[in-house]
Amino acid sequence: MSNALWVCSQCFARSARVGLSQRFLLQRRGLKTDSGLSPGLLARARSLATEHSTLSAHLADAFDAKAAKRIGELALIASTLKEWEHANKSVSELLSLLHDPDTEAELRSLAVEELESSKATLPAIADNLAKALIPRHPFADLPCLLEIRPGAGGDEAGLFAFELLKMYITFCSHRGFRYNLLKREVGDGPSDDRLSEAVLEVDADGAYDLLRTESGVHRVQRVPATEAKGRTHTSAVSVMVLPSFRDAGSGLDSSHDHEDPSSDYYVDPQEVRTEKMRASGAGGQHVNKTESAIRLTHIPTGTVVSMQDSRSQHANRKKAWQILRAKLAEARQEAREQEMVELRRGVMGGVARMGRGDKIRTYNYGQSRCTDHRSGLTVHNLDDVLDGGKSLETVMDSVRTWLVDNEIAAMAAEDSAKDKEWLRAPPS
Amino acid sequence: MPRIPTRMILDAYRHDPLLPLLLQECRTIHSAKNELRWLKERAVTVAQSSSTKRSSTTSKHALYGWRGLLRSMCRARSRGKPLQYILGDQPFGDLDIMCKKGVLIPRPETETFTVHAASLISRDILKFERHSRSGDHAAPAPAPAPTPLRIIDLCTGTGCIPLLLHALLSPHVPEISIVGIDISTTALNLSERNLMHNVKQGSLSARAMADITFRQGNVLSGSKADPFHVENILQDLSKPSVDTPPPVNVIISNPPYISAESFADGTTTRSVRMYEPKLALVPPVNHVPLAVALDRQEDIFYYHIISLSFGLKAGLVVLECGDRLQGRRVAALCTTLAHEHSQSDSLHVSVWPSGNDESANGSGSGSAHVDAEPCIVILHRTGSN
Repeated sequence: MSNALWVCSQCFARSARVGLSQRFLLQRRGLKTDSGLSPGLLARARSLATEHSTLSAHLADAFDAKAAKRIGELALIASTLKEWEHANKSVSELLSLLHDPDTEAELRSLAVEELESSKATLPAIADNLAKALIPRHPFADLPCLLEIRPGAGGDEAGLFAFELLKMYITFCSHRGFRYNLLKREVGDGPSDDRLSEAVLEVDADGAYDLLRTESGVHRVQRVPATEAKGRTHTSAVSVMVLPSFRDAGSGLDSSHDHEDPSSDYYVDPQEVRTEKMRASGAGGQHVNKTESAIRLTHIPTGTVVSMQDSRSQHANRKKAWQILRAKLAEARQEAREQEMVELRRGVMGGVARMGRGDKIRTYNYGQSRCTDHRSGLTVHNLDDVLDGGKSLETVMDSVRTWLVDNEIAAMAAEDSAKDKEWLRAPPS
Repeated sequence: MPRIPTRMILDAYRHDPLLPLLLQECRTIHSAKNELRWLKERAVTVAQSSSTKRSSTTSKHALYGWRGLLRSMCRARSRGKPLQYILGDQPFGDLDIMCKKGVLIPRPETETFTVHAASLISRDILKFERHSRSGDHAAPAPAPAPTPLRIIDLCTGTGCIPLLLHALLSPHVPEISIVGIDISTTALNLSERNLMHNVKQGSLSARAMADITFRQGNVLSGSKADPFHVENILQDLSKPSVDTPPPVNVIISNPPYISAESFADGTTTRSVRMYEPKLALVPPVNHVPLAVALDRQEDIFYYHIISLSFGLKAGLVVLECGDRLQGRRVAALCTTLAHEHSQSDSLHVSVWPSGNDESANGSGSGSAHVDAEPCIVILHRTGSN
C-alpha cells in the first residue's frame, strides 16, 4: 500500500476478511442496534486503527516522514473509532445494569437517563466515523486551476462565462486566496467581456478540495443583452477544476512530484509536441518579433494547450505545461474513478455519478434563483451568489455534503454486497 | 514585403479602429490583437498610476487619458518603433528586462540559449563535484578549495544574459561571479539599472548585486596596451591576487553578427534597422591584422572571442550565431584557431540545436526553415580547469 492515499475498497475488503472472519460473525448480532454503520465499514475502521497503532509504535523508534504522514491521515479514524467504541461500551454496560433485577430503583432511573443521552450521541459519532473513512481525494491538498469555457449559446455563453470568472475571482478574494489569471482569451468582437476561454489559478493548499464541487456544466437562464425581443435564453458554460502541481522538489510527497518518471502524473516530454507560432525567415538579431504563442500537443491523448498571454515565450511555455499537466492528471484520475464506478456497478447495479458533462447548476435571472441539481438546494439570492458571497458558499457546502453522503452510501452498499457474496461462498 | 490585403485591414478595423495601425508591423491579425492587448494593459496601468498621483483628476479624465495614450502608442508602433521600446521592458525568463533606445532588445532565441547554457554549466559543475567527492573517498587528500564559478558575458547589452544566468545558477552554486562587458556606456547604464530593478522586484537574490559586475571593454581591441582590452579589464577586477587572475570557467556571448549585406537587403526588418543600434547588430570593419584570414567580415567578433577563450583557458564557450551557415563557419573557425594555439586535442565543438533535433527547435517545417534560425556554437574543453 505504501504511499497510496487511496485504496481500492475491494482489495481492502478482501484483506480485511482474512483476519476478521471469526470476530466478524460474533459482532454482527450486536451491530444490529448501531445506527447506519455497516459491518464492512466498521471492519475497515478497525483495521485502519490497527495500522495506526502499529505505525505509531514504529514511529516511536525511528522517524519516517512517510509513516508520519500516514499516521496523520489515520489519526482521525482511530480517535473517532475509540470514541465510538467507548460510547457503545457504556451503552451495553447500562443495558446490562437495567436488565439486572438486583439494580436499585434509584440507580435504574439514573441509568435510563444516562442511556438516553448515550444513545443520542451514538449516531453523530457513527456519522463522523463514516465521514473519516472516506478515502481522501488524491488531489485534495493541492491548489487548483479553474478552467472556464462557454458551451452552447454563442455570445451569451461567452458573456456568462465572463460573469462566472468574476464570481470565482471575488470568491477567492473573499476567502483570502491568492489567485492568478493564467489564461484569458476573449472572443471576436469589439468588447472584451466575451470569454472564449479562461484559466484561473487558485494558489492555496486544499483549493482543489474546496472547488471540486464546481466541476460541471453551469446553465444560465436569462434575457441576454444581445436579445432584441426580450426572450429568455438558456445557455451553458462548462467549468473544470484541475489539480495544480507546484514546481518539483517542494514537498515530501513523492506521489505528486511530476518530474519523477515513476510518478502517476508524470508527463513524458517526448510525447509532447511543441509548436511555436512563428513566421519563417531570418530570426535573432535580424527581426524583432513579438509573436510568443506556444502550442503543446500531448500526442497519445491528443490534448492540446495553446498559450499566448505573455510576451515571453518562456513564460507561455511554462504556463502551457502547467495546464497540460493538470489536464492529463485530471483525465487519469477521472479514468480511474470511472473504473471504480464500473466495478461498483458490477457488484451492486447502477450507481449515480455526476461527470463533467452533466448539468450541475442553474442560474435563473428571471426568478433570481440559483439551483444546484445535485444537492437540490435552491438559493433565492442570485446577486449574492454571483458576487461570490455567502450564498455561493452555502450552495458549495450543500454539494460537499451531497458528495460525502454519496460516497458513504456507495461504500456501505459495496461492503454489504461483498458481505453477501462472502456468506454465499465462505472462504475455506 | 507583400501588401496587406484590404479585406484583412477591414476585418481589423471592425475589431478595433486602432488595429490596422498595428497590422503594418505585425502582418497578421492574430499577433496584432495580442499587441493591442499588451499595449492597452500598459496604457491603462500608466493612466491609472498617473491619475492616482494627481488625485484631482476625475475617473472620466483618466479613462480619456488611457485612450489617448493608447492611440499614440499605436501610432508609434505603426511607424515601426519596437513594442519593447514603447512598453519599456521585455520579459526574459522570469526576469523583467528594461529596454531603452540605443540598446539591443533581448530576443527570445537568446532566452532559449541562455537557459540551455545554464543547464550545460550546472551539469558540468555537478560532474565536477561528483569527481572531487569520489576522489575524497579514495584518499583523504586536501579537498580543492571551493573556487567561485567565473562567467564572462561579452557584448552584454541590456545585461539580460548575466542576470538570467545568475537567476538560474545561484540556487545551485554557492559562489559565483559574472562579469558583463560592453563597449557602449548607454548599455552599461541600462544593465546596471536592470540589475537593481530585478533585485528590487525580487526576481534576483540580493547577492546578485555583489556577484554581477558590468564593465566597459572592447572585444575587438587587438593590442594589450589598450586599457579597454578584455584581458586588462579582467586583470583590473582581480586586484587582490595581482600576479595571476583567477581562471575563467565560462565565456558566453551574443555579439553583433549581421553582415552589411543582409542589413541592407531586407533580411533585417525595417523596425530593427530604424530603431535598434547598428553598433549592436553589424560588426565594424576591422583593420587589426589577424592570424587567420576570415572569409566573412561579420565573423570578426567570433575570431576575437575564441582567441580570448584560449588565452583565458575557459572550459566552456557559448556563442550565438545568426544562422546555421554562420554556425558552421564559426565551428570551423574554432578548430582552426585551436590548431593555431595548439590546444586542439581536448576540444569539443558542437552546434545546438542540431539540425535533426526536432523537439529542440520545435517548428519541424523543413530544413530550410531551420537553416535560417539562430543557433549556438558550444566549445567544450575537457582538459582545462
